[in-house]
Amino acid sequence: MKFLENTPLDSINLFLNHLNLGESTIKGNLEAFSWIMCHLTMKNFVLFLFIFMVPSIPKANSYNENVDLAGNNSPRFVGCWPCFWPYLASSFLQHGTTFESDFHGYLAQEFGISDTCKGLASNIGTLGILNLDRKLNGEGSHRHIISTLRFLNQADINSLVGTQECEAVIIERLPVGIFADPFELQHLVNHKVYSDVAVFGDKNLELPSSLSNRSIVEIHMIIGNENSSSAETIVQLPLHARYPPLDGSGYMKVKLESPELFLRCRPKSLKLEPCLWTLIELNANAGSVKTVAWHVPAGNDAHRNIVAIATFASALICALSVFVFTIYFSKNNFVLVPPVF
Amino acid sequence: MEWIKLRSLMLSSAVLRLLLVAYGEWQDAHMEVRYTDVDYLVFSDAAALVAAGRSPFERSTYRYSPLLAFLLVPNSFIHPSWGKILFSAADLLVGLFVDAICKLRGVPENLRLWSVAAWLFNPFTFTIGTRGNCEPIVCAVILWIILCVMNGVSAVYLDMHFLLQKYLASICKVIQAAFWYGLIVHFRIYPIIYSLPLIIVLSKQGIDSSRKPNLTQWSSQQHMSYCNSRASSKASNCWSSMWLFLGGILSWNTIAFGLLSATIFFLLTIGFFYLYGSEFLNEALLYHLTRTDPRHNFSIYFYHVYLHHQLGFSIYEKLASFLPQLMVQLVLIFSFADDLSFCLFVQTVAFVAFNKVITAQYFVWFFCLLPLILPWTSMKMKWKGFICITVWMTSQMHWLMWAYLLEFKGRNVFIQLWVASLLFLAANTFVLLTIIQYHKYSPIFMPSATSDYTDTKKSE
Repeated sequence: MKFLENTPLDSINLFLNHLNLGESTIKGNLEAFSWIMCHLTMKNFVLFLFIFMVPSIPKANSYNENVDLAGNNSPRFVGCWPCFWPYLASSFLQHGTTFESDFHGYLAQEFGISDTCKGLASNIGTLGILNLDRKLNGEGSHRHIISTLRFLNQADINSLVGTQECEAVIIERLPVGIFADPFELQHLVNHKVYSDVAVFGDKNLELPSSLSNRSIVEIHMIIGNENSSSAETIVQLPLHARYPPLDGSGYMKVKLESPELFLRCRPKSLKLEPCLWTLIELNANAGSVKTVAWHVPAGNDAHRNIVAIATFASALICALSVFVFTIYFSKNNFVLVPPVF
Repeated sequence: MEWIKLRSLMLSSAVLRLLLVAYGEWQDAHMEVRYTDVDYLVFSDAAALVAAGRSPFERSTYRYSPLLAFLLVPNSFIHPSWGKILFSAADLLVGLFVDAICKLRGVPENLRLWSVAAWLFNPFTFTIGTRGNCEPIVCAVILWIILCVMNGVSAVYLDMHFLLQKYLASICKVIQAAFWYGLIVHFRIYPIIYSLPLIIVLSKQGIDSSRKPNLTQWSSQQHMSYCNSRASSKASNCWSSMWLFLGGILSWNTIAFGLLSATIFFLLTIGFFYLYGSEFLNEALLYHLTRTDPRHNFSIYFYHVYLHHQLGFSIYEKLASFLPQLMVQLVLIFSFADDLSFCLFVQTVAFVAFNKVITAQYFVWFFCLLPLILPWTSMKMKWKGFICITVWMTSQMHWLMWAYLLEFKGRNVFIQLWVASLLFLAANTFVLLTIIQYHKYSPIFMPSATSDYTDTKKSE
């Protein structure tokens, strides 16, 4: 028996991440199981249940295959998300963290496995992303970023969806030069394109980039359908460009990073209390995903003086023409002559 | 017979607008691009907040008076299109007021109907109301103010005692006009430019205002030259005439008008400040006065603002953009104030053209005054009228083409777009000067030289 020291829960997560199902792993499970029995507390009870369910994962072979294909492409169980908590990103921002902070570190802290998480954990192995395609559609200042998710094993997703309600959670971190219109996104929710959406951070639609901050968009989309044969989930997010800072080349390159992808599921019958989603992080860090670049037209500061002079000169010329013309054509009407009582 | 023709005009316009509102609902539900204006959604959201007892300014980009949100509260419990119906009804009211104003000045029926049609069937007009823009309400109030100024004794007071009637008649007109004027300046701010011509015109009433004012009647003569008896006595010294002018405009009417409209404005401002705090002041008032929007619009200043946005603006730059506007407004007011409708029209055209921000909805501000001056223009559609329309529309289309390339094709065409906006200003100036050249100047009030009450004031 391997001796596991009394480690904190996130280290146990890390350990479980590297669990390789198959013959050799069952031993690992038993070892952990032994450890749990020795140090059983209320918190660890959940872990006990989780590990108990792990050996029942079917198709161990395919899981191994996936790990072989792309080492860090495996999904990662994050934790249990209470139903009353609407968005992942809101609590992230509430903690005063900046957009550049480690999202994963935060999640590891917040979503510790402290409660009963049922359902999905046993199927975790089959829910990886095969690949994630990113494409910026459209021209001009109003475009769509299209993320196409292909799951490893669509058939398993479909069977899972029979008993579970599952949603993809996509978190886009938008740079300063781009924004999403919350009202437009709400319109999409009303048309059932997304099940829910939220924008955090700078939502001002009118200011230029130099006076703006970053924002985060969180999209929830129902995935899978028992009858669906489609192997893809397509997420289309409408985005708009802000007026960028001035650039001599005439264009500003704005980069859109890959989104954070998660999957959350809960049993369809919601009679269980407390209501919890099982949250899994989908790593799609295979080499094919690249940063998308958007070229936004920018003003040229070399024009500054000529534009200022010509603008004020034109205004003055037009104003003077109106002045002179009006005086000429209305010389009998001029009101400065006093009225007669 | 004439009222049947007007009635059929009004009826067909009403049907057209109802159909457009219905179509708009269908397009919103079934197509990607909405028919309804984004602003209407802002008003509706703000009205829903008010209905829930909260501040309308919680809705971002709501930059209007809370009165608008109050007007649209029924959107939440009658139908979401209530606002559009209200604006379209204001549209039709404007048509009625145009007819009333022209009728008061003796314009023959066929010309009147053309003027009314020029408003009711103007594509800008019926799309703006049915898309949910609130400008028709502003237009209706402005025209009502003109009517108040032109009208005398209201029928309600006719059966009162003569002396009381005499006293009330003068007050009635001024009170009404002042009340609505204070309200509309609170609502939209730009009508503040009409303050001086309104005061000048009201000062011409003199003391004897118990009678209906003598309105000059329309005449079909091509070269009507109005000989203002006052014009012949030109002041020898510019400064002394300035003092005389200032003294002249101070009468009980003008003081009452000024005080009352200012009171209404401040009461509304203070009242809403009490209700909604500094958010109201910032969003509804200060935003419009200090607005420097770098995003592209018809104004010649947009590119300059974008290039200088990060550097900030000096006081000289702000003055430099304000001076041409001020110069133009003053010269137009002092030249045309007596011919009230014309003065308001040219002022509005110039105000929009020289403003720091120009959006398409501002055009409605002068479109509602255009029908009032049409009977007095000697410009024929062939060819001067046609040229004016073509020049104005072409320069607009030209600008829109570059704006489309910039916004929807992502091409850097800032310089071309800016030049297009300069051309648009030139086109506006050309059209303005042409209209002034071909206008038959006719002050609305005849000089009240006689003390006899003539019955020929209102001709049939």
